[in-house]
Amino acid sequence: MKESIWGYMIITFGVISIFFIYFFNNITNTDQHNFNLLRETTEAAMFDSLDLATYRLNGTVKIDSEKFIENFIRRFAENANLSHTYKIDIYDINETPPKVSLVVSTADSSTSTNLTGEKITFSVVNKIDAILETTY
Amino acid sequence: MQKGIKTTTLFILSIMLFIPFCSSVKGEIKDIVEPQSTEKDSLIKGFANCNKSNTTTSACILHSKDLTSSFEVKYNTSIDGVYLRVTYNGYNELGNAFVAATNESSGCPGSETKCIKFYKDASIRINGIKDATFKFEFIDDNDNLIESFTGAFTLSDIDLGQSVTFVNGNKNVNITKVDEEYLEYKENTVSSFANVAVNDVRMEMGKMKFSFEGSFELKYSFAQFNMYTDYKATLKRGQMGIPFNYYNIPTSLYNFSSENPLKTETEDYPKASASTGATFWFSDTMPDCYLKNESTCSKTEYVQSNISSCYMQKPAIIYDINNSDIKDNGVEDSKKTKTYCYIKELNSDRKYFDNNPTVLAGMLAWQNDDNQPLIETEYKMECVVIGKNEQVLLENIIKNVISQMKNSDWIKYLIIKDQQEFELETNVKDLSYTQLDDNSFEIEVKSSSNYNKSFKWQFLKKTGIAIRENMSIFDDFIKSDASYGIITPINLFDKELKTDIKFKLKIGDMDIITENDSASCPYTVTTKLITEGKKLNLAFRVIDTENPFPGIDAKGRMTGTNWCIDYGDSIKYDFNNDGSVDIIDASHYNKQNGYESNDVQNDSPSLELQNLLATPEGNFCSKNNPVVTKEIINSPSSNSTGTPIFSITLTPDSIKNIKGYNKGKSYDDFDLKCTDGEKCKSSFVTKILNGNYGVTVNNGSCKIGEGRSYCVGGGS
Repeated sequence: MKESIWGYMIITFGVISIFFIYFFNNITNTDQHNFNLLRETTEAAMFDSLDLATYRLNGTVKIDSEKFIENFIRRFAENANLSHTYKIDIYDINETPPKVSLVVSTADSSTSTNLTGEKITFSVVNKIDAILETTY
Repeated sequence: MQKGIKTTTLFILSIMLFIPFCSSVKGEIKDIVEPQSTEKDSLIKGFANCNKSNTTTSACILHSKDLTSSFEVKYNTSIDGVYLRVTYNGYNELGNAFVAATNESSGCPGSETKCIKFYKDASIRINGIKDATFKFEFIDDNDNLIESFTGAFTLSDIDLGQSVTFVNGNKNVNITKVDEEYLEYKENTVSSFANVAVNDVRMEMGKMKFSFEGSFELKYSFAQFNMYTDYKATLKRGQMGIPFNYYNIPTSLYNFSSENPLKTETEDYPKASASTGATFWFSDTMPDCYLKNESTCSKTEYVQSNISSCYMQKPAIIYDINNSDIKDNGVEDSKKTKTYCYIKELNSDRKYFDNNPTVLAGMLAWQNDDNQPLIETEYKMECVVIGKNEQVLLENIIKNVISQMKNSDWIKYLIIKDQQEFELETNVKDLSYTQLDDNSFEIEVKSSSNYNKSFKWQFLKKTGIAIRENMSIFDDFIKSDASYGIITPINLFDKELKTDIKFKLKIGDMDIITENDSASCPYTVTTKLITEGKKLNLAFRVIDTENPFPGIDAKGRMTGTNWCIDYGDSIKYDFNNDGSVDIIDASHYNKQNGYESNDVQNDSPSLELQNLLATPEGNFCSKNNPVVTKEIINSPSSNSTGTPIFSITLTPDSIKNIKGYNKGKSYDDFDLKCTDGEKCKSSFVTKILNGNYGVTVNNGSCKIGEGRSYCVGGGS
């Protein structure tokens, strides 16, 4: 009897530990994932939205904002985590010279409730300001 | 003991139960897709090099080490606003003698047409002289000669930074050698190249007009240089493609820039072909590669627009009454019917006119060697009839048309001797016409009995006749909206002549050009950048908005060339930091004199500031030049403040929907809806904004359907 109680205590402790590990692991990994996803997607979308016609005409390096938005959303969704809800704020798209400013926030789909009944939502926010620059 | 074992077993099992769950929560990055565009690394790098010596031009001359020298002239005087005229005789490195003078005209007083406005104690830079005799004349506002200096020197006698001085009384002119920067371009020897985008080349009633808007600066030591132009995209097939290839500008120090462009020239080449791009050689002699073999010149990068992927083969039977037997019919010239064709760029008003449809067809037949279009723009060819023709006998017109058909290359396409050879009048048995009730005529081309019905027109390729390989876009055997005497281009490719050909021709009256009734066929015109292995090295950089160009020493560095101030920019910035905004039209920027005072509104920058701006090391490519300041540092959006343009929420369901859309569709497959060829809107983004795919959108500063392109900065 005494040993079984110890066993249940250990199991309970393990489960609680695993929950905390999962919880913080989820937040930190989501942050890392979001940052890499945001950076790589932004880079790919900026290159794919280059306006080559303008470059050929007068040598101006320009991106097309419509192409950028479409490309970004499609690429982002393709690699996004299905367990999350993402909020993408597009703050700036400067076509020439090319510069974009974006913020991606992740709201965990499962909100927690603390002991007082207050709903808690952890958001992971990543922002990026990026340019295309000719190598000097 | 057994209970302890059970407990331990339960614990292990519980751990194992969670192992897969734990692994599933790792931040897995799945298949980050690299940009699909092959253009990422395939553009031109050359411009960046040019900008080391010329910070603001999109095209420039690369200097040869031994052929250029620059020196600075400083004139010490108490008079402000005098004008300088320079005349000099000398030799360049190749031993060519020259006589040249300043070639500035802006603001010159009186009858002077070539001078430089010379500020008090300011300096100018003159390029491209090795040994020379100079005469400097300073002129006041009333065109009176203030004083002049004459002297001679050899630049090789002057060390960098040292001066020679011409003295006249107690006044003097200092000449300082300043130009070591050009030594970087030692790889370019005799011939230098300029890349100029020519954006308006058109055929207009037998004349070729072209305009250059490329902004570049020529610094050369040749007494006389020739500008060779060659439309590299010569016709691959067909009879067109005669380039006008020589243009001589008999002066040195010719300075093309946005303020002094070589705007428009006209050459009388009735059958010349044109493209919207060209290559220019600047040299004292014609480049060897040009003389020997064109292909050896192709190693040079150049910007080129090409009309390639649509071809109108020996197309229209154009009836020109002026050339027919009806012209003696007593019809007044003003009432004669005139038919001409033009190529019209879809979604724009740009047209390329010519009264010879074959010329236009030749233009459309243009294709480059590697035939790899990057951007496609649709054109169509339209033929219209203008003028009244009620006095014209319709039957005579028909006869004339048939006569033209018989004698034209077009009819050869109907002639088949065997599957590979062609011979006139072997296969066409008869051409006949019938007048119909609606005042139109039906023309019938009957084939002969020995006609091989299994023949496909693709064998025409073996004849060497200009036919593009990919002709699938031409579906109509004959497209004959002949309501106004027009027989439009036909395509015979890949068609089996199983029946005789019939088409209708109707002559109508038109007072004005009517495009709606003219027949047309779609064309695809490509604009291509010939890279020849050259690449534009574009770097994607995540930036700090406070210090976007940090540099290796943390003190900041020059920006990439695309972040420099460029000609044509209107710069709005508080240069003097006095709270008022200075507006400078950079198109009036003068490298030698800085800004003219009247180019600066509201607040004139000081002379020192002008001089600062007028140097490559100044603000124009600096880490905090006005472009950087405006677009990054002072931009509220850079700090993610203010209202976003769009705020898009992707739920798991909407992510699934977009993934479904992505399947089988490449990322660079854009469906853009444009207005007048501009303000293009993405259909996908439109759907997103309308709530399709389950996406929730907060429109932020933009509203759906109300100038979205404007909100986000405009379409392509």
